[in-house]
Amino acid sequence: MWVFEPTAKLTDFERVSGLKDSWSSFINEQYERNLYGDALIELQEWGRSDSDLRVYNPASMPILSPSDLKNVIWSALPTSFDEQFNNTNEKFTFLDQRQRFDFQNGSSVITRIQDEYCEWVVKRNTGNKITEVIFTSEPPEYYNFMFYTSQESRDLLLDVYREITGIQSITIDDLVDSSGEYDWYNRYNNEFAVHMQQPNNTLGAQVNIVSRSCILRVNRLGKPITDAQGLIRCGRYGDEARQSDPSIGDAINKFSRENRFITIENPVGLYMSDVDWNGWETPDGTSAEAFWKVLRGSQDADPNKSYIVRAVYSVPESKDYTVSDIKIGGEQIEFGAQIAARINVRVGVLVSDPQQIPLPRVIGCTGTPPFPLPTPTDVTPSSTVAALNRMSSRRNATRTSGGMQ
Amino acid sequence: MIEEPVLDIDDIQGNVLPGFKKDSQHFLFFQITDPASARLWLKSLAPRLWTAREVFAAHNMWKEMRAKLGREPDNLDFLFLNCAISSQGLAKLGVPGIGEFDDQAFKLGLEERSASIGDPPRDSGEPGAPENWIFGAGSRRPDVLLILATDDLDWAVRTEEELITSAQQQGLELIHVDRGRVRPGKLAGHEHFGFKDGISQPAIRGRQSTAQDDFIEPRTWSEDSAFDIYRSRFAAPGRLLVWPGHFLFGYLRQFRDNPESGRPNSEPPGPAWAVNGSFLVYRRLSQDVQGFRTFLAEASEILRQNGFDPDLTPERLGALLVGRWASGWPVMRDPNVDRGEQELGENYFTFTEATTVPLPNDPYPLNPPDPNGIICPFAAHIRKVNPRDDATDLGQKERTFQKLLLRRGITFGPEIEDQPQAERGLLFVAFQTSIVNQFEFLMNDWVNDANKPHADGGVDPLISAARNAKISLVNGTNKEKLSIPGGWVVATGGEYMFAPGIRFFSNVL
Repeated sequence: MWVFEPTAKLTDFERVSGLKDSWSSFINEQYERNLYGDALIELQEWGRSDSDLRVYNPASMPILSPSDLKNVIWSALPTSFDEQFNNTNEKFTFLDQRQRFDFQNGSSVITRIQDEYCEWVVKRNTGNKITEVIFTSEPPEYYNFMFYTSQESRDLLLDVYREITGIQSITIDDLVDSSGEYDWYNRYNNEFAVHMQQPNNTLGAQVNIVSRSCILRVNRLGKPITDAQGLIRCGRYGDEARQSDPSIGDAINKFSRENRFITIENPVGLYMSDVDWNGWETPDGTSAEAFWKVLRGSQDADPNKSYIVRAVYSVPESKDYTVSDIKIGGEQIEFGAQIAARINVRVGVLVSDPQQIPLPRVIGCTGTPPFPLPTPTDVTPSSTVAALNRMSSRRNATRTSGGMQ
Repeated sequence: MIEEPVLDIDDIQGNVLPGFKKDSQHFLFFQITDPASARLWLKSLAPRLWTAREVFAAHNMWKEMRAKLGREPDNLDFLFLNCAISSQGLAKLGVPGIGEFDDQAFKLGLEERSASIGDPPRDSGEPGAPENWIFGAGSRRPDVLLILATDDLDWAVRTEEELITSAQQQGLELIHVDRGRVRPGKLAGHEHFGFKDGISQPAIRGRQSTAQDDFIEPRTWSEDSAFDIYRSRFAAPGRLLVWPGHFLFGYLRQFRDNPESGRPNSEPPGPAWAVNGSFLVYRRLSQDVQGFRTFLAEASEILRQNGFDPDLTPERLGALLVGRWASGWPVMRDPNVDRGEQELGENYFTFTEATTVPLPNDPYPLNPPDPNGIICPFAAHIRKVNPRDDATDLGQKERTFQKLLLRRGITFGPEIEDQPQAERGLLFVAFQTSIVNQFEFLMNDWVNDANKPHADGGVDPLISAARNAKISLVNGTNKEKLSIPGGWVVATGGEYMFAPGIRFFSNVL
């Protein structure tokens, strides 16, 4: 039986019986909702079916062999706001602080605004020198999940918060809003970057973008849309101003056009992969890398295999200097954003060889009324995928509620 | 039609636009010893500095004569002169407003930044570390650069002597001279590893006058409507049209991800006197030609023997590392055959998508799609520094426009066959308005990162500082992770400078 691992293979859930299984169900539900919900419904509106999806839920369909791990990698430093500023210091000041985020429904929230699936908070001493910068790529769903699944998991949530912050006095009341719901913007998450809180930095967004970007698209003239910008505008997934979302969509759609089958690497998540240490200088010649500590997840010499979700950059008290006394490229570190600029973030997908089956059929752009479309030429099916293709549906027959509201 | 800005070509220095393109280019580096005298001397240079308009005119006259004579004219030459000043130099001269530049790289200078672009760290003692540079580090950081260029070497030498004598009498001290020289005969335009260089340059958007189509960069597309798909983004085959604010202060930069639009009020941040100026990156790069040739011979032998490609020649392996054959012909258009120098189609290709519309009189195959780096490896030098239509780690290809450089480099040193032990290499010169977001971005994020712009693509095998990094090669169903020892290109000096508009010399100094 397929099991979705907790993000970054974290072991918190092992402390509560049945919680790992519930998490697996939750991830399954993400696939069901985004792939066989949003993506498939759109295909069906055009008279297509799930045979035109090349992303699959590994809980519903065995991982094709061979499948290779492919990564999409981008910088943790957002570029979405570049054009708002004519001055790097102003931009970095903006990025280092929480900002207002406006939702489409007119409401808004004050949140970390860093939008490349890696958020950070900067701690300073009384002299305004940076003492540490905490980075997180932990998805908010992981914490939502602990809050809502059971009393035991809610207790676990408190334990995890206390472990991460070192503050034992945290109670559940500190983590909820006035309605008693789990609050992503609680003071401890705001202060310690326990998990991501920018409203779109979610696992749900990741699964949605991967699911929907596999759909092959044409414009109104029937011309295939194959470039990153055209695809994200046509498919309306993610945020085209980011680096990550158009990159993910471009890669997935390319694999799909090559008739490859794609699934997100297990454990599903977005991970810091590596840090570029070129040009760092410390006052006493200590390797700057020595001050980088991965706190949750794991770092591998091969960045393509790293699962870093929480890390801190800080100088031990035994040193007589701070992070701000360290230089990158001759510049003293005055902002967390300078470090973020050196961090890469990745998402991994497992990609099969091209399959000898009919190519996925194309559709038009999201939100446009269906119009007549060409049918691609049939290709001789390979045995494995032909068998899969004969299945009436690849939807998971045993859908779960996932235990989430 | 896009309203392109009128560029002040009477103020812009001629090596920024259109580039000197002369066989001999001498780079004279000075330190200021007496700021008051030096200031007067630099001010007096203003009438001698060649403007963009003058260099355009000189090039046009030369081309007209060549057309008239049917050969290169041997009695028509010019001696161009331009000047650039480092941040340190501007400070010594007492020029106000340096802090208004946003670019930290320029303000700090190359030595401080060198480790972050991949050079060995300061005091590491390794080749390429600043303490081993001939100039540009420690007490040998330059303040002023004079660039003189002509086809006549003797004229260059005479003028060099005159300028040095004059400068040294008036508050400047010569610290270094690099003498660039185009390689002889058919190797002209080829760098010392043997590859034709400088083929793919961005085209600056802009006009010489208010006339609607008086473009700085001629639009050379055939009138055939099949090429309409290119006109708004390319001046000529493969030549991306880039908003002038990415190369010149005082002009608009691109609007978000729309290369056809300039963003209002997007002039690069800097002091008022920076208008019509450009940051100049100077890197003196030594090349180990014998080491590179030996690697190609040995590695191709191994790849033949291990069955990766029984027909692999050193020339083809070199082409895979560069992305072009020695002639400049792109691997994307002919992965197995060097068609020789073909100016017409050598820059007409893409990577991800197929090119489908043949240029008139271009008989050679067009490039097929190569989204997976099979024909042209993702690590190939030209695919690292200009991924063209590839999506990158930045997202859509439209963001690559803002990363490009105007390159004005020239080779130096004798031919290896003539003097095997002598030093040779490239005097890398590039203009831009953000060293951080253009030159340094290309070095940090694309050249030296194995996962950018393409995940798992490998580092740039030619100019990355990495040692023994692996790059992926594919031949049919055969895959090879080729170890690249690297170290064939080593920094031996340089500086980040600013080439102001010519009125800066007369009005600000």
